[in-house]
Amino acid sequence: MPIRKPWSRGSALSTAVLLCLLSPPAAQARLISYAGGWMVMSNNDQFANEVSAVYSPTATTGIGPFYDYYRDTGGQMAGLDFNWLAHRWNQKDSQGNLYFLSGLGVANHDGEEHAGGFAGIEADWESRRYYASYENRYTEAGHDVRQEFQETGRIGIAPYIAESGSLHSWLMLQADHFPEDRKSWVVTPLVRLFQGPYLAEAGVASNGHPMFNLMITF
Amino acid sequence: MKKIIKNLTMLGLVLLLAAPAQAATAKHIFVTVNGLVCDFCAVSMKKIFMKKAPVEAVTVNLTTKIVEIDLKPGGTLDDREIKKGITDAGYAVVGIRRD
Repeated sequence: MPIRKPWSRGSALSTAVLLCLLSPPAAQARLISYAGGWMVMSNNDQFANEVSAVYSPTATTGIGPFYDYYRDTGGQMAGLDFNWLAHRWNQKDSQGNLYFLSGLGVANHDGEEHAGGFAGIEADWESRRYYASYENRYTEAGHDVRQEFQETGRIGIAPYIAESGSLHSWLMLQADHFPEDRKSWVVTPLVRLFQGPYLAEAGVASNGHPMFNLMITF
Repeated sequence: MKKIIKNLTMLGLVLLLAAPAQAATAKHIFVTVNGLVCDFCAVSMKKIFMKKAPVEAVTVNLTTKIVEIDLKPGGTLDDREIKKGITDAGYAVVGIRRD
């Protein structure tokens, strides 16, 4: 039963696009900033346009608002992210992380609202030359918005070793798997560039859809 | 014998008092850190330490894994503050050297 109609489909899309343009942020990288730091992110692929901001009160926790627009259903969800760095392995030449991700919010499709949320884990490991990560996430926002389990894996290599303050480049391969609904794999070769607090990623998926992510830390 | 013991005790006291004095007057601090693998690490270090009043500049070397903290004249930063700053940035201190 419709409760209220705060977003029309068109205005939601316009808002998402505007937010993406205004906030240069993010991707699959750090989910938590330094204690007292902010990150703003925008992830865009064939499945969704996502915009979020994360504040880290400590080096192991992150909280902030998110807005997702699901391109396949036209549904949306807005709410609060809660991320927790369960463990970090700081080694001399590498770093590994284990995160627990969650979010709670309000899902909306054509004016019909209901509670929604997601939960998952992410593990990553990187050196200055190599990168690998795995993330899974179950989103429950109703059949009309999004209700599925997603797995994403990445491997990457840096073609050169960059020093602090210079441009860092990565060549990466991302694989997305949707075991329940789409029953298919999508593979996306991409380039990650980052320098200082700015990170950008761009790629084209195996089915031809573009992907573009931005992130900035404050 | 008593005189020797007395002199050694005095020398020990002088050395004990001199160590913190040297730490307090050091202008450059070199912190070896584990986990420094990307430019975000450097950004975090700079954001954390540049908020501290005694700090004049922070330089991060990803190759040597050393964070150099330059202090303002008369500025001091004890090991506890340094370790907390590195931990707040999300990394681990291996060693601290003052120059």
